[in-house]
Order: sequence, then C-alpha cells, then structure tokens
Amino acid sequence: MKKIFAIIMAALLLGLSACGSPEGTDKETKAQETTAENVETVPNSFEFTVDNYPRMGGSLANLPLGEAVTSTVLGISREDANKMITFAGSTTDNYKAIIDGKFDILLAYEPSEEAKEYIGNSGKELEMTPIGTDALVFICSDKNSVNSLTLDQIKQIYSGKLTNWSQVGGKDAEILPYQRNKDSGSQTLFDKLINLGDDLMDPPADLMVGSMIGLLEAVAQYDNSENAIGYTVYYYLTNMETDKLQSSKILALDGVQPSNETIGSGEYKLSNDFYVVIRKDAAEDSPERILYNWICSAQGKELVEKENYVAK
Amino acid sequence: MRKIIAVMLILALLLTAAACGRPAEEAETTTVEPETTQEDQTAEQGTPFFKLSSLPDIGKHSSQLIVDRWYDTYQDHLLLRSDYGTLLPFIGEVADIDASAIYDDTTQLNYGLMTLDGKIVVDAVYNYIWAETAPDGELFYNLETYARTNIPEAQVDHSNPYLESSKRYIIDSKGSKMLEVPYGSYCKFVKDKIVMLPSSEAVGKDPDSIWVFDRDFKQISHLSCKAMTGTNAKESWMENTALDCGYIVLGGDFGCQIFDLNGNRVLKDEKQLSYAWDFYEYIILKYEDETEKLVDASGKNCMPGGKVFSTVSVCGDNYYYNYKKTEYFISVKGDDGYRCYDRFLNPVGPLFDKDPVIVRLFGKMYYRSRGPGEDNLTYYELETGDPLDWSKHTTLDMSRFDSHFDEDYDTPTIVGNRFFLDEYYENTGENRYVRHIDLVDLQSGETVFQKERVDADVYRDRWISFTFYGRYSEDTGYSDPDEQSFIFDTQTQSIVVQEDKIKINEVDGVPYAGWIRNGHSLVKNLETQETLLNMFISSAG
Repeated sequence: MKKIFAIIMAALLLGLSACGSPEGTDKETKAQETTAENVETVPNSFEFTVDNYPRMGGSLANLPLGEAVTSTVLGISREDANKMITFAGSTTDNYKAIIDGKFDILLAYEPSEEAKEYIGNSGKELEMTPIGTDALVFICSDKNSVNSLTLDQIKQIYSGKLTNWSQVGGKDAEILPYQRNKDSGSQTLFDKLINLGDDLMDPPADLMVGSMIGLLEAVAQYDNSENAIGYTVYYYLTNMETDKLQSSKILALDGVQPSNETIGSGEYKLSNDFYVVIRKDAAEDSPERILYNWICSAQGKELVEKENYVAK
Repeated sequence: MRKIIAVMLILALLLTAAACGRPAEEAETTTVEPETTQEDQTAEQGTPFFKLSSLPDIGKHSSQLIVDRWYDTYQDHLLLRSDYGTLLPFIGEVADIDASAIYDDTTQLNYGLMTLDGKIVVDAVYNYIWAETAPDGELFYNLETYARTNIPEAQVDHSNPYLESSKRYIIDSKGSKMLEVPYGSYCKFVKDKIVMLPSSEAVGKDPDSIWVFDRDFKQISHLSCKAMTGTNAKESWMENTALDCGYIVLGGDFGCQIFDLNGNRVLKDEKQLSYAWDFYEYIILKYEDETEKLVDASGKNCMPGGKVFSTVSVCGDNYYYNYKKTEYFISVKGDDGYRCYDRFLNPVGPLFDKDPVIVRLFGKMYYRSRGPGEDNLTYYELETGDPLDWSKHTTLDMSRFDSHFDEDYDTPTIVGNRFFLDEYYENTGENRYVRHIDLVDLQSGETVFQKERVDADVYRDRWISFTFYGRYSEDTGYSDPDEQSFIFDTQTQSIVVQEDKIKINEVDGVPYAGWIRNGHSLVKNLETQETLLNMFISSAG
C-alpha cells in the first residue's frame, strides 16, 4: 500500500510541476521552489533573493525601515539585512546615487533643491510615493526651563532677531542656534518648513554641525549645551538616539508636543513625508519595481507602522 | 486493486489540474487583501508581484552600540597620561565638507583615539591619523588636523589654505607624550631618535635647521645646515633614505657632505651627488658621474671588490612594497659578474652573470633565472643552489605562477605559504593600465577570485586587504571607488569584512580593522573577531 501512495504522490508532484504558468519563466519556476513559509506561492509571485535584491539606500532615519523591509522580504536577520543596505551619506547624495545608478531604490526624505537640480539636469525621472510622515523637531538641554516655542519665535531665533533665552521665557543667556549642513535631509526640512529664505542667519562655523548625531551631541553633551537649540527629525531622536533624551528635551511647538498621533493628525505643524523612490524607467518586472509596489501595498504600510513610523 | 489505483491516480491528476489550471488572476484573488492595492493591479496585469501571507516577527531595530569612554564627556584634545595603555585610531566622524576650495572630495573621515578595550580617549578631532613604527618596533602616531570642515568661505585662505589651520603632532602609542611638528616638515624615526627637517613651507620654523629629538621628544641637537655646509637646508638637503642608518646627507653646489646626528662630519666630497640610500649600517652614494660608494660610519669606502650596482629587491611572506620587513642584500658588479652580499658584507650565493632577483618563498631565500631556451623561471635556494621543488608546495602549474613576472623585475607574493597574489596589468588604451589581482590557492591550484582595479596589502602574513580604486573618471580626473573593499583571511579562507572604506592599523602585532556601516563606526580585532567599538556617527539625514 505504501507503494501505491508513493505513486499517487509522484503523480501529484508531476502534475504540479507541469502546470506552472503558461509562460513558464525562470522567475515563476523560482517562485514555485521558494522555501520561505510565508511567501505567497502563486503564479506571478516573485521571489527575492540575495542576488536579485535591489541595491537599497536612503536617509539614516529610514534605516530601521530599510532593515525591516530587507529582513522581511529575504527572510534574513535584521543584522544580515543591515549589511546589505546603505543608509549613509546625505539625503542629497542618496538622490544623486539613484540617478547615477548606484542605488536601485531609496527610502528617503524629500530631496533638497540641489538634489532636484541634479535630477533635472540628468534628464532622468524618479517615481516616488510617500509612505510615511515624520516631523522636524527642535531640541534643547533638559536644563533649559523653556518647554515650548511658537513657530514665530523659532523663525526669529534663526534669523538672529531673538538672541537671548530670556526673550522666550527662559533665563538670561545667549541662544546658541545650531544648524545642519545644506545637503542634509534635516536642513532640507528646516528650509521648507521654517522657510526663512534670506533671513536665515549665517551660522558661525562652530554652530554648523555635519551630522545628526553631531547636532544631538552639541545640544545634549557639550559644555555650552545648556544654551543651545538645534533640530532633527522626530523618528531619529525618539527611536534611534533615545539616550540623547536623557540630557535634552523636545520642545513643543505652539503648545503641541510632537508624537506619532499629533504628527499623524497634523496637529503638530512641522511634519513632512518620506518616500520610497525608484527610477521611473524601472521595468514592470524589475526587482526594484516589485519591491516598490510591495512597500506601497497594504502589507508595506503594515510594516511601516510596525516599525513605529507614522504610515501614510 | 488496480481499479482503485487507477481511480486514485485520475482523482489526483484532476485535483492537481484544478489547482493549477489557471495562472495568476484567480489564484491571486484568493490571497490578496480585499482592498485594491498595487500588487492587485499589477497582478491583474500579469506582472510579477511580491506578497507574504503575513509579516514575520523580525524583532526591533537595534543599533547594538558598543561605546565606552575614558572621560565622561566629549574630549576635543588628547590629555597626556601614562595609564591609557596602547591607543588605536578609529573613524569618529564622516563630515560633509562645504569647503570646495580645499578639497576635491566632499566627505572627510575624521579620527579619534581609543584604548584597546574600546574606551574613547579623544573624539574625532583629527583629520588624519597614521601610524609610524620606529626601527626598533616602537609604535607612534601622527595626528594631523587641517582645514576643519565647513569653514565659512570668508575664512578660507585660498592662497595657502593648509598652513593657517594645520597642526601635526607625533605621540607615542600610549598617549603619554607629544611632539608638535610644523606642518610641511619632514620627520623620520632614525634608530632611537627622531629627526625633524622643516620644509620651506613650514610655518614659524627656520628651513635652515635640523632638529634631533630623543624618544621622550626632548631636543638633543639643533643643527644649522648653513653652519655645516655654507648653504641652507632648502638647497642642500637631499631627499634620501640614508637617514635610516643615522646620517644626514647634504648635497649641492659644494658637493656632498655627510653628518651624523650630532652634527659631526663623516664625509666631505667635491663630487656632485645624485642620490644616497642606506644598506643596514652603511650608506650607498651614487654620484652624478655614475660612480658609487659604500661608506661606513667613519666615511670609509667599504665597497667589497667592485662597484655597487644596486640593492636587490627581496620579497615574500608578509612582504609588500617594503623590502625592509625582511632580509635584503646588495649586489655588486665586478669584472667577473655580480655577487650578492649580506648586511655584514659577506658574500652569499653564486656569481651571477646579471643583476639577480632574490625572492623569499616558503620561508627560504631563492634567486631565479631562466635557462637558455627555457620558458619558465627556475628558483634556486640562495644558500645551497638547489632548485625549488615546486611540486612539494603546490599543484599549480609553474607557468601559471611566474607567467606575469619579468625575469628582471616583479616578484611574487605568497601569503601564509598557501595563497599566491598574482598581480598583472592590462593596458586599457591611452597608456592607462589597470591592475588585476588573482588570488590563487597553491594547494588546490584553483583561482579563488579575480579582481581588477584593486590594490592589496598583507597583514601578519595572514590577512589580505583588497582596496578597489574604481574606474577612472574623465570628469574628475580621479578613480572613483565603485566596489566595496574587503579583507580576506587566508587562515579561515573567508572574507571577514566587506565595506566601503576599511582602515587597518596594526598595533602590538595585532591588526585592527575600522570601517563605516550605515552611519556606524566599527572597530574589530581581526585576530579575535571581537568588536571593540560600534558607534553611531553618520552624517546622513
């Protein structure tokens, strides 16, 4: 009887292997062979492998998402996923890299003016879909008695019109307003949302910081940090550099404290989207297009939320 | 029974056919979310899509930081003290540069110093740190700060941007003592001393002077070139390697003069010198009239028998572009041919009919030659003259081993007595040569991998770091890295680190690798594989 069942099973397997899809492409064959338990094994489903996985880059604050996408899609650990993706360099550099073909897909904040110009001059087009919302937040030392600023006060501080903390309800001390470098994602957000134009003061060299971590350290750890104010993006500070909040605090804006809820609802005003980006000419069956579509799907949104971002 | 089987088979096949008869459309509708999503649309169009039945649990993002500090807060300079233990450089900042007047690149790696157990002693305030080993093996670091990042345009001195803001220090590897070096100066560890020769560009220093310091950085002499030779250092200093054996060679219109580090004249010659270099305790002098001398500490010509023709390149084992890591010889041309001499000027090996090439292979020294009508080079043991029995060491065909070596020039590099770094060049046109390196396993005879546009460095005769220099860009005039670098461990036969920028420092005989990954700076002990530092430093965002 065992033999009979063996023959029946063989027939079943033969039948299954013969039916595939009409086209019978290699990719479809691969999909049938997939070993990941939770991958849909239906015709036209695509299997990502380490070899066909798109080169992914992006903004540092999107690193956990990039890691999660890669880990989920490939069925590998987060640690191994981290080694396959590159979330470094400025946001502007990342946009340049995808135009230059060094990346296939980006998870990134809005491009800077410089990046937009680069894209325009390249003659290439990008396709980008907002997948989540983050916010520009202002931070100061936890020793500072000021807890909230208005948008107007922030504008006046960064245009050099308010120079002393006593003018905004704090103690009599000079305000040290730190800025980021022009091609950073944080600065692009600042330029767009605070919109000071030519009124933005030129920062002294020692108040210009080349990295997000550098800015946090400047506000949270340096000797003169008690009088400093700086800015970064909410997710980065509250999910990736939480230890900095031991010596610094996030300022409320017009009395609204930033949180996933207030950012999602728009109550906190300085919010902005981040995107999944591919080159527009990516073929419909290219791995980057398939990944792009998945990130934009309901399941992609579920993953964005799972990673504690505010999903679109 | 047969009927039963036939019915079951038909049922099975029918069931199978029912399950797979129609492709994408119907199958997908059973698995996708009810709402119309992008994969629904693409699937309906018959294009490939990806979907999971559910999201797996992958845990939370963890930066896995390993950061410890000697001091509680950010440290912007080195505090000298004797209890740090040996220090190690680490990449502590990737700065975006907004000073295009100074740099071609737009990113700058900045470095700090940490202890070997991972405690940060100085944050990333140095633009460059490079190690220097004294002849007796003591390790020192050069710390350099030049134009800091993001210098406002108004503050950039375009006429000489480096000098205004540049500082250079030499410290011992334990961070207990420091010597400030004027920017542009030439510094050299010579025996148990340090010789400093300010260049004409050096700030605040007289280019006529030569300073000599002991290992505690105490000045022990200050020599004046003008007083010694009648002209100043700018004109008389000879860029040569004779300093290695403890002599200052000054040449110019006055001829050639050699002094010891106390300023005592060893030799005075009217003849014009072309160049000078060292051979252990001796100085080799090559004059413009093509004559040569080999002199000792008293200035006495010690040339054995004939004319010094050249030093002989020696390589093998952990050798790579530094013949002084291993034993080396000189060959002297006499009337009857060339003869090699060791560091004590004792003759070694046979008489050669041309300038010999000596190579270290599998732990022994060999010379090589190609017999009349022979295609392959043959290697002969220097001491015994016995030919190398190639088959004892490898299954690799001999012709594969030396196919890229000219008889008179390049020498092979073997790592760990097992892996052969086969280096050769390809002319890509317009006289631009691309370096290729094949890593060949001598045991199996197989090529492990082939890489192009790559440099290689060998550490401890075990680890090989491959650094890609990328494709040449007509636009920038530079080669842009377009692939990652990696470190290959010949013992485990695996790639242990693969990143964009890998920096290796060998400290107390142990190689430490540092690199940047997703905004983190990591430092790993290659021997133990222990990660000493994992710090968030990114410039992204």
